[in-house]
Amino acid sequence: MKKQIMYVLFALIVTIPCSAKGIEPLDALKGPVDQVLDILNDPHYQDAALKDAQREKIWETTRQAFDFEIMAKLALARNWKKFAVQQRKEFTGLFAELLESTYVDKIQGGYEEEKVLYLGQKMVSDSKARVTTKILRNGVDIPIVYSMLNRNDVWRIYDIKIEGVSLIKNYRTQFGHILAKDSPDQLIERLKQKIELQEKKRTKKD
Amino acid sequence: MNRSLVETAVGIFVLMGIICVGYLTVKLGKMELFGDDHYSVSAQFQSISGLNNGASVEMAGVQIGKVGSISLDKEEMVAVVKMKIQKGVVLTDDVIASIKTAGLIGDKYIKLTPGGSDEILNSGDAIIETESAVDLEELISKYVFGGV
Repeated sequence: MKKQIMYVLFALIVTIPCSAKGIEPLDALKGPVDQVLDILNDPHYQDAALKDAQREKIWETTRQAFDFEIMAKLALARNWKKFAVQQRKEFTGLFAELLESTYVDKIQGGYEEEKVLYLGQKMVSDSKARVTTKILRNGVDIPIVYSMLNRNDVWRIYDIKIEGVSLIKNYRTQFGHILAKDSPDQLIERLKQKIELQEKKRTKKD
Repeated sequence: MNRSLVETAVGIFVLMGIICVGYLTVKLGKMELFGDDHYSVSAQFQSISGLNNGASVEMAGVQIGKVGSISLDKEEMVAVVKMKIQKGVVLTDDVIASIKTAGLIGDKYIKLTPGGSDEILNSGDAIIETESAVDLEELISKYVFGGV
């Protein structure tokens, strides 16, 4: 019996990533983005008491669309080598949490029935692609370009450029400045404090 | 005997003069005749408005090269910039090239933010991660007055 369960588990683990095989980068992006829009439009979540549940659901959907490991590595750039294996793991988790606490609230709070247009995709190398989108917000078009990376046959986002300004570049410069004088442990500590602070702000608002 | 000595001396001076003029022409004209000590990488930008040939390429504020040529990719209508980078400056494939303005209204230059990957860019390779020139006027007008 135990063996059978193991087989089923194994089959599940193997098939989940494979199911994305052959999917184009644009579709890989469209899926989660549309899902998030659906969650935001869902009248079920209008109730203020369900805001946390909605937030959790948005994060669950977005989490799968991003390749946080690569993002953390790109953001740390040369400093990645200074981090021990354990520190890298911790940093990756915290970086993902930081992005969550910074952006999910903004998406949730600032949503005004924006529409997302998918303008096309372009392969820039064997494993990298750009997907160009546009957000229509109150008559203003905001161009957003997603950089996607194909790893293990799954397309995931590793950078976002809004109006041509890169998210990774922003964090790379900041982390570079911090790590010029502080140690990796201090940076990790700083991230923790920042996340805690944003968490406090959020609960206060609620 | 004496006269031929003088003539030889004059000849040598004239020759030295010509060599000096030749050297200056090559240097001042920014021609590269002998073994170039630069290698070239290219990058695509959505917009490079204001960037000129010969503009500097900087890393951490230090000039490490210059813009070699600028052209338009006629199929995709994007700008292709070829940069000449000093040999000895190693770039990796996750370096980010951004077009920046010196001061508020100064000249445009290219800023490279180093990455940490192990894949090194060779001559002729392309920088994939780029940030285009941000047009402040356009941005301000768009968010102040709103789009159509």
